[in-house]
Amino acid sequence: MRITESSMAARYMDSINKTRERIVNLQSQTAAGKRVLKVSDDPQGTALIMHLKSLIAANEQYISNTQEAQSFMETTTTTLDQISDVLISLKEITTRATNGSLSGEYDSFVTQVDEYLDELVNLANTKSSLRYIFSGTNILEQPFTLAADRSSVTVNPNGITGTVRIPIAEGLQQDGNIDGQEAFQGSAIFDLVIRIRDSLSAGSSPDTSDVTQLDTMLNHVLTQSSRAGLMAQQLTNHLSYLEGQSTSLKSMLSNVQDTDVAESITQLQENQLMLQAALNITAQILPKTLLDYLG
Amino acid sequence: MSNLSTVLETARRALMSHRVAMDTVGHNVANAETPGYTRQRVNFEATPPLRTSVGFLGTGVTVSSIERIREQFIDTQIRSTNDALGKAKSQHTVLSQVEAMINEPSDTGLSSQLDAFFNAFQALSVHPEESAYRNAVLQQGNLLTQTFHQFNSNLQQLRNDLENDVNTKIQTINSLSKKISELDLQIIQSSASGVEPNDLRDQRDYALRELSELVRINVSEDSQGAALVAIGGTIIASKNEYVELSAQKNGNTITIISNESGRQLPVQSGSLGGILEIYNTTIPSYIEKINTLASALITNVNNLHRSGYGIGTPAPTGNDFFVGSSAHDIGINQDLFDNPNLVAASGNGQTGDNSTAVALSNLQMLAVLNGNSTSIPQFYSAFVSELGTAINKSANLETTQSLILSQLDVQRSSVSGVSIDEEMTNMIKYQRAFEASARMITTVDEMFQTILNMV
Repeated sequence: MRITESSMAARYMDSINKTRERIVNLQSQTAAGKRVLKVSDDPQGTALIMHLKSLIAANEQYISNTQEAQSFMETTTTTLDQISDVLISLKEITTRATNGSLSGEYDSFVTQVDEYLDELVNLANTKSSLRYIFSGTNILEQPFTLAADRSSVTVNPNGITGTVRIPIAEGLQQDGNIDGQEAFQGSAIFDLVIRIRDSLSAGSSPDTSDVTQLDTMLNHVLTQSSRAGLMAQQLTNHLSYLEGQSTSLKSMLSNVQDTDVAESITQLQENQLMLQAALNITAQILPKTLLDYLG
Repeated sequence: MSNLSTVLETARRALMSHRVAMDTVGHNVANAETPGYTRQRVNFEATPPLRTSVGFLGTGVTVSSIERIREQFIDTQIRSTNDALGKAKSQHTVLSQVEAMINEPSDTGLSSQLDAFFNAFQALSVHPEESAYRNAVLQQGNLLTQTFHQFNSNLQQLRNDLENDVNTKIQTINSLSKKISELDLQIIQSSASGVEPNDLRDQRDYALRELSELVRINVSEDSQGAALVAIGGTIIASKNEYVELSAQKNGNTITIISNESGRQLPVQSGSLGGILEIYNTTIPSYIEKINTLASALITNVNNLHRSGYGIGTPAPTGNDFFVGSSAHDIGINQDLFDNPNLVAASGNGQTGDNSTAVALSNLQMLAVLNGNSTSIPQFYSAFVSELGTAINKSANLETTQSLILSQLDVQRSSVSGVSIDEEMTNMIKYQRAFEASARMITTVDEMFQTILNMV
């Protein structure tokens, strides 16, 4: 076969260009740390990357939802605990008041009970950020209103029931609140306290059944508090599951998307060696013609 | 019997012939790197002998022809490879532009925007009372619509650019057909006068090669040596006649027509064919897919959103989230921007209920496309992989065809290319022959002197 100078030159240029192209690709992949920089680098891989990124973004959102629901439930637990403390104090006063010999101190008891009543209503109207925690789904409306003369507590006529359901995983929602009805059985607790106060201010000793009822209420609040605590605990457990999920999704993404640095640097070096060899050979062979040997 | 002047004449002919041969060596060396050049060879022939009493006496040498060393078959193959390569190359370039437009995988592409949009609804579901989260939903929605607009307008812009490209290519085709027909005429005239028009043929063959990169052509040669160039049965160039082509736009498609007959030409391959295919078929199908995606998003989000409630007394309901119907006119309902409380999160009018926001964020997983078998992100990612596969296909085709072409070029070069080594060898050969002939003349001259001295 006749080999001509121009075909030799074209061949060398061709192989040098191809090697250079591979080097440029490997360099940009190594520099960016990513194996897939554009769709055509790996069309199926791109689809997988997009899917994994979408799962990771959703998971991050679930983590943030769960964290917020958890802190909300912790606020609920704390508030219910504070309420139970108030109820314990009320129970002490009431128990002392049932001892008829202390009737001279009733006035001071009334003042104390009123203060506790204020505290109870305030606690029942606790807000987390903008929402009333015991308002059911009517979160922007104050659930309990104490009359100015402290004669009664009214429940928001638009309702204090309803469950806020928090999305915590794909297709999974968890109850994220304890509504006012569940926590306080409507206004029953306040009504009881008002009744005790009224009887004290009328100078009559509270009925022993009032003490029993206070006990029942206290038990009820404690039960709700431990329920809220349990819900917070469940969310904490779920959170660690989501975080594990997030870690494994991210490592899957990294497997598909990221460059194996050791491998690509090795390949880069191989190609650089090939380029040097090609250049060397080209430089040695191309300039040789018969002309070099003609006198 | 011979006489000395006959010998002188023979030597003179040899001198002349080898000078022509040297000229040709020089021409070959000079054109060693000229694209499309075919090496030429001098064919020598013994001149007719003289009849003498002792038999035929040789009268020397003459140049019978200067011939192009060429294999017609390789040229045909090069042309057909060239049109396939032209097509793959042009498609690869254009599709890579589309690839840059969709910008995937990245944190700013449509895929991430969709994720962010649906997640914003989920964040709202946890905070249905806070206007910051309503605004976040609106902002994400707005970014999403902008991404749709951007992609759509980029594709339209690309089509405009391609239209210009088609027109430029048509002009190149027209000027090449003109050149070919002119060269044809010169070739016929030159052949008729008995001179082999080697270099004109080279120029014509090179023009044919350039033309074949733009469009698939059929080339045949008539008895006079003129090339007939046809695109799908319509002759566009023959001796001193050529047909101008032009691009005609009917609605969304471009066809190539002959200005002479007004008939449509079946342009298939070559870079023109490749670009026409992308313009007429590929890009419209991409635009349609993006529109399908946008319209599914608009319809489904709006259906859910209309059934939900915002904040207010009474709780507002029945509002659309998006306006528009496709990728180019998708937008956020302006009423929602004016009053973010119209964004529906609640399913029953109570502020703390988040069922609509949850349903809207779950829309991401819902199969609402392709007859309720594919979710919105799945549809988009299928589109993205399809594009990636198309790019790889054209890139592979480009690599294969250019490999074949360079192989054919090597073959062509091995037949028709100039080898400096060979030319140098020929040069020495002809130089020696020239020297020998010159020596003959000096010797004959000396013989004349001898005779003259005898007198």
